[in-house]
Amino acid sequence: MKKNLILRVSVALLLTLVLVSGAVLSVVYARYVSRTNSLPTLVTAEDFYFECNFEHGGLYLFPTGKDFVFKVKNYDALGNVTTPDTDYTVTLDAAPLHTDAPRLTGGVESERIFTIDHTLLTVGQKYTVEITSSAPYEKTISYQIFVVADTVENFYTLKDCGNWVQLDLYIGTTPPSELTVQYGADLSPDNTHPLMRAWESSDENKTLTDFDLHPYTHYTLIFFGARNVTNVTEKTPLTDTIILE
Amino acid sequence: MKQYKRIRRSGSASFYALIFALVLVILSSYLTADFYARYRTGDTAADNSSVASFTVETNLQTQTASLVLENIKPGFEKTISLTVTNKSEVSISYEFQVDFTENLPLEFTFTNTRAGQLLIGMPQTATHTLTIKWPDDEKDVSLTSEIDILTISLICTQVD
Repeated sequence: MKKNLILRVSVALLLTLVLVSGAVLSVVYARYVSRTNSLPTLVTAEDFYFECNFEHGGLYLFPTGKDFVFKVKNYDALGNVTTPDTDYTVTLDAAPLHTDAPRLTGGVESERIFTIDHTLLTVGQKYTVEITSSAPYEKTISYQIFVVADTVENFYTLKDCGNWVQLDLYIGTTPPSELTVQYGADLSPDNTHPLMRAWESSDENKTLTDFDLHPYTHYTLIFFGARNVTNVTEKTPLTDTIILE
Repeated sequence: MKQYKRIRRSGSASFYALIFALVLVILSSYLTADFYARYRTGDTAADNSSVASFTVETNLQTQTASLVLENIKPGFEKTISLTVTNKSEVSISYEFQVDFTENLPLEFTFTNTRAGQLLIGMPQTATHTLTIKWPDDEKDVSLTSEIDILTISLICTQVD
């Protein structure tokens, strides 16, 4: 009985002692502490536009006997431009296609056209073109060309689909140097198509060049709007102008 | 015997209630000390006792307010000068801390150290130079159009 009482008192005293000493220590070890934060600063990286008229990863058929011409540029279809200068190299099967150090001037739309002489290209062979920027960012555009001997003409078809008009272009051996499409203000070009990214209804007509159209390629262009056009269902030889009417 | 046991049980309960109340009082006074802690000014005591002042000044906010890090690219480098002035009646140790989301491969380097001590006495100012750098070899095209958020902090602690 007495033993129990002593034990209880001891435990109570011990507990009290711990709490009191904790309270005392918290006062003894109190410190001034302050923290000053800067306002969050937004950091943004420079945009970069470095493109070629042939897409990365593509395999393109190309007719024998013609020079292979392609364009390297520092802007996109919407007119966005890289601000700093862009340094880059171009190779054909790892062999340089230039003797200088190519540079696209920043802040303005800059481009350079490269030509691979047809004597360097053999029928039935596959070649790799690689375009690599080194500054301000590293980006590689790589695609293959396969040289063929087929001769195919250029055709088109036109179809009234009710709420839209469908124009199909069948580009053969030699793309037209210029092809104008007259669609008018009441049709809206499908801007998801790479060829028509910047086309607007108000433009009423737009011209494609042989930089836009590649040999042995089929393009389907959609124009939204309910216009009655005369269907051209048979493959019709391509002229320099197509009128959607 | 039964009555004795009842008395004993009753005494034991009172004892535990007393201990519980004691613990509760100590614990609550310990907690409320934190809740109601305040700096106080004024000389109300006859012996003129006062709390030591704690005043640290820095140019951190003005320097970072004018910091423009928009459209930066690989090879970018920017240096800012940060100062700490101790006007307290206590010595302090301090440290600059840099926080960012690491979306961009930025490097932050203090030319001397990022930390130090300013002892009690005359107002003292320490100057640290911070260099913000985007290494020239970190230039993968995936970094283009990326954004980051940068915050710089100064943490000061009293030293005995």
